[in-house]
Amino acid sequence: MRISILSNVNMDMLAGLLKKDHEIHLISGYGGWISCALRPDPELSRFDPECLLLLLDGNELLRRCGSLQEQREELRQTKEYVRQLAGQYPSARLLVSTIDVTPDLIRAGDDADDSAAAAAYWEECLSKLTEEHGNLHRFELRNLIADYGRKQFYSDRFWYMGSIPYDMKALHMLADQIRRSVERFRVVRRKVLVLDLDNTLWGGVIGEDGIEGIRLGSSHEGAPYQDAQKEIRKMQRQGVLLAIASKNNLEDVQKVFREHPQMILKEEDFAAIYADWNPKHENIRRMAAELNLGLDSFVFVDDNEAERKAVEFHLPEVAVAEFPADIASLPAAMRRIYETYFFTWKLTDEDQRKTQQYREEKARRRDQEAAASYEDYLRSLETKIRMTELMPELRERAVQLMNKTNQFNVCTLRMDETKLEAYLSAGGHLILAEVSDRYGNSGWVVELLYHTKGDTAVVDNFLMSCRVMGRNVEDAFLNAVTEKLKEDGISCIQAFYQKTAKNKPVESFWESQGFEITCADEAHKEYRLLLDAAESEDAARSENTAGRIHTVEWKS
Amino acid sequence: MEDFLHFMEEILEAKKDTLTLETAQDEVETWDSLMQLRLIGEIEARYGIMIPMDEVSKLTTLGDFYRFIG
Repeated sequence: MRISILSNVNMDMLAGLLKKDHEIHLISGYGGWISCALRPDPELSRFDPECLLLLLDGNELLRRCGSLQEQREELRQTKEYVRQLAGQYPSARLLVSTIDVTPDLIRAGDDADDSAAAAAYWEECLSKLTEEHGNLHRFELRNLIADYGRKQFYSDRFWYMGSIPYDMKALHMLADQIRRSVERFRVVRRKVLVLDLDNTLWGGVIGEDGIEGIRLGSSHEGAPYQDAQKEIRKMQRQGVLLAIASKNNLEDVQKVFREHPQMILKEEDFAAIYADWNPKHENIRRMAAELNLGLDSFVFVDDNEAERKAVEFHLPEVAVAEFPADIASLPAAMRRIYETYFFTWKLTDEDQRKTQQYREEKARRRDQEAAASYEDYLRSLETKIRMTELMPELRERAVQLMNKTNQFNVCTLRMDETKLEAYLSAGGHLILAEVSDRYGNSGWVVELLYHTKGDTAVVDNFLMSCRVMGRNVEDAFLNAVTEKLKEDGISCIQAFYQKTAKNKPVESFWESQGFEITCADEAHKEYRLLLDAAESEDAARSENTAGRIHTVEWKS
Repeated sequence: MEDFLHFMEEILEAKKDTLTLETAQDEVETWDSLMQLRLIGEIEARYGIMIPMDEVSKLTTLGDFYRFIG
């Protein structure tokens, strides 16, 4: 990756450590990075960084500030510079460090220590910055220093010999953390954590030891399991779906969930519970079908090596997490699992409501099985679709949706915030829809991107979360878009299908919507719909499909 | 000593078995003032020693560094 390192201290050595793995451009030392923020730097622009990393040494930054008041003023000013920097390089990812400030030891023992206050104030500034800029993220310098210890991280000798505040080992650690941070730009978040029960969520075997015999509690040997459960519940609140794959009798398992007073996780925290004697890889496959997710969304945790090996062998797409040899490390192992597989820069509302949504989906399926006809079922849902052109507060969700939707995605056009920005400013449009029904709100789950060429609208992509597939939402949505385009004076819609390994479900989508093929080969099809001619198509569709059953409204 | 020289080869990005204790700063292209500092840092970290600051300017060959490991 092309990384530009900006810093208020000398980072030559750090740049040297990183250049084996990345292309590094360095602007360090007093004032250098600020000039780049204030006016475009031709050299930096030529380098065209994919990532700008701003490493701020807190002590250097606040060197000339006497009072806390002055420190705040300096940090406020720094925030402004970062803002300008973000404006100068809108197409790059920006990583901005937290700051560590060393306490002043030459002061009266009872005088307050301001160092933490300055660091905390910078946290506030950073929070504002990450809110304002979707492509600006935190770099955890302060925690890195705290974890390793200031006495070892800082080096007076390196400072006096080379204006480098950090020790050699510290620089290696910093380089490692940078490698990990930029790696995160590439990693796709997984969705489901599949857990074993015996000796994973509690100590012992429920089928043999019974509910009184298993180890689970707030102290001693049951505590690591309970603390691990607490970490797992935190993950669930961060949008990770939980599932169980356990070789046990379901009744034994339910008894623990319902009756063991020390259980943190409850049955309703899980999107799927498989407690039976089938091979776990078969159960995980069933979960994938039930949740409508790819196997590459799953992470599997089990204390039993044979089970891990079996899942690895049968389901190579599933990530199998390492299990700690020492049970005291179980909570830490859970934190590592989060870091490795479920890390996300920003949490959307969607993420937080995920388990709830999957539970609603289960209720829907039960009703569908009970309904007399498919149309009856659709009617019973009382679906409402709210449509809108993209608004700033939906931008993050729009980007998230287009990057993680695989099945119902006609062109699988991926964009990050920056690319989307460019698309919109070049005249592109993005329409989003929020779908809710009797069972709950599925959130913003349908998305269509188009631009116009004369009186033709070109659909650059159309996609929908698998969460609402099979409810004729796409028909209703497209009807509404067609109506809108007609009102805008559009007379022809052009659309495409671009084949991927996963988007078979929409292979004939445009045909089903009355579009005619104008050009096609193995992997790519082009379509056209003339809107005058579409009237009769519309009528035909509304007769035999349920596209008109749903209530559609444009958000004003 | 062999371990030390191999370690130096890695840091200085030199070809294998090209360095000796007699190798001096001006014979190695990558050995600039920044590298001087890095050598000190890396050697200190690896061998758990400390090279005093006022010695630093006197270190001109690899042997000068090796003395501290002894």
